Amino acid sequence: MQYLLMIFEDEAHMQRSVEEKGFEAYMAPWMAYTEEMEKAGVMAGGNALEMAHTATTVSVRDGKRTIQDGPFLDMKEQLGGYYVLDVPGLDEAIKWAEKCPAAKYGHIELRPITNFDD
Amino acid sequence: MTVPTEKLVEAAAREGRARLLAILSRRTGDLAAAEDALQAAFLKALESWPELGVPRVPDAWLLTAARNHLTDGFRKESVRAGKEEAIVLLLDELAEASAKDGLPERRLELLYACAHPAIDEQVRPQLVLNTVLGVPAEDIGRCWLASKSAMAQRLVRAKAKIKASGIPFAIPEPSEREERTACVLEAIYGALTIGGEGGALAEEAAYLASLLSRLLPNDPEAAALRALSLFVLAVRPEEGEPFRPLSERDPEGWNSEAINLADNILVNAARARKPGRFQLEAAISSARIAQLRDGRDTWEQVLHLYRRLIDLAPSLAATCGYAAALMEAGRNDEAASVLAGMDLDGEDFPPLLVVRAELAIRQREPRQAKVLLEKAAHLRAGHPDGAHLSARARDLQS
Repeated sequence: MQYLLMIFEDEAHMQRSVEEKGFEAYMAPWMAYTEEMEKAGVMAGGNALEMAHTATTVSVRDGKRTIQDGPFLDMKEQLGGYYVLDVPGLDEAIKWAEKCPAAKYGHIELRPITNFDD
Repeated sequence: MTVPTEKLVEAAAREGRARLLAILSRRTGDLAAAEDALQAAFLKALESWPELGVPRVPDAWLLTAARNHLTDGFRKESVRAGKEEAIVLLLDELAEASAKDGLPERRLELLYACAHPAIDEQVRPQLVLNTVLGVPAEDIGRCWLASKSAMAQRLVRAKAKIKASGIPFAIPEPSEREERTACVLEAIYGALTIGGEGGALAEEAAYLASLLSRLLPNDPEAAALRALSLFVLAVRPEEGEPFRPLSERDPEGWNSEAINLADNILVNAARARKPGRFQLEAAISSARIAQLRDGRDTWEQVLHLYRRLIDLAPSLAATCGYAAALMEAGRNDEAASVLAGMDLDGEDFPPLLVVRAELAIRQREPRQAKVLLEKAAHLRAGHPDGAHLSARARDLQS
C-alpha cells in the first residue's frame, strides 16, 4: 500500500533550529531518514516544501476564479514536506512516521493513497 | 432425536462466527465484506441444511459458501483479477484444510485489528463487541447512549477505516505487542464497565475476556481481566433489581463459586510477577468483596492497592476510586486532600462528581452534594446507576 506521509511543523520552530544549529546540522537527520527509507526500498517519492507564506490558494465559484495569498488552512503547524511510502500496511507506515525527525516536535499525518486498480 | 436445523445453524453461528470472520477478514482485509459474506453463508445454511442435512464439517461448508458470496461481490465490483484469484485460492485451500483439521485460530488477529490504536479509542470496544461477538449495533448503541443509526454509522466508518488505511489483521511483533495488547484489554474493559457495574453488555464482555485469556494463556493481565469480569458478574444485582452500589448489595445473593474461581485466577496470575493495571483492579475488587462477604477488614489492603494503581496507571477513575475508598474507611480528611489536589478538567466525569458529592455530604454541605449528584445523574441517564443517582439527589434537602 502507498501512504502520503505529511510533515506538519511549526515554521518558527524550524527557523530557530536552523539558526541555532546551522543548516547542515539541521538537515543531517533528514538526510539520514531519507537514506534509511531508500535503503529499505519503501520510498516512492517525497519533497520538502517552501514556507507556507509562499503558498497560493486558488478556487473557482460560479465560473469566477479567486486567487488568494497564503495557504488554505492557516494553522500553527504547517505542511512542510511529504514522503510517499510504499509499505505492506499501516503498522509499517506508523513505524516510518515515528522515525521522522519532525515527529518529536511536530505532527506526522499518514493518509492511504487511493488505488483505483483495486 | 432430531434437533431442529435452525438450532444447529444457530449453534454453528455462535461457535464459529468469530472464528470464520477472523479468517475471512484476514484474507480480504475487508471486515464489512467478510461480515456480509458470512451472513450470506448462514442464510444459505438455513435454506439448504434442512433439505440436505447438516454437512459433516459445517465450518468448511460455511467457509465455501462465504467464499462464493465474496466471488460474486468481486465480479460485481470488477476487482482486479489477480487479487480475486489469490483470495479465492487461499479460501479454497482453507476450506479443504479445515475439513481435515478444523479451522485455524485467527480471532486474536481480529481483536488486534479492531482495537488498533489508529481507531478512535471509544469505538474500539464497540467494534470488538460487534465483530467478535456479533452484538447488534442497536444493543451496543443503547449502552453508549447512541441511537441505532448513529452507532451503525460509527461501526461502518471504523470498518471502512480498517480497510482503507491498511490496518493489518495480524498479531503485532514482539516490540509492539505489550502496548497493542493493552489496547485490546482496554477495549474489553470498556465494554465490561460501560453500563455501570454489570451493565447490559457485561456478559458479552466477560465472554471476550475469557476468550482472550485462552488465546493469551501466559498473559497475567489478560487473566486478571477475566477475573475482574467474573467479579463484576458475580456481585451484580439480579435482573430486574434496581442498581445499588457494591457496599449496599446483599452478599447472600453473590455467586461464591465464580468469586473463588476469580480469586484463584488472580493468585495464579500474580506468579508471573508482572504486576499490571488489571491485576491491581481485580485485586481491589477481590479485597472489597472479601470485606463485604466475609466481614474482613481489608481497608489497608484496598488503599494500598489503590496507591499502587495510581502509581502504575494513573487515571481519574483510579483517583476517584481511591478517594471513595478513603471515605468509606472513615478517612474523610485524606479524601478531601486527594480531591483538592485534583485537576478539575474531569469535571464532567460522573465518578468524580459522585465522590465530590460524597465528600460534600460528609462535610455537611447537602446543597452542594445535591447539585453534583443531579449533574452525575443527568450524565448517566439511561444507565442503571442513573436512576440510583437521581434518587439520591432527590433525597437530599436543598
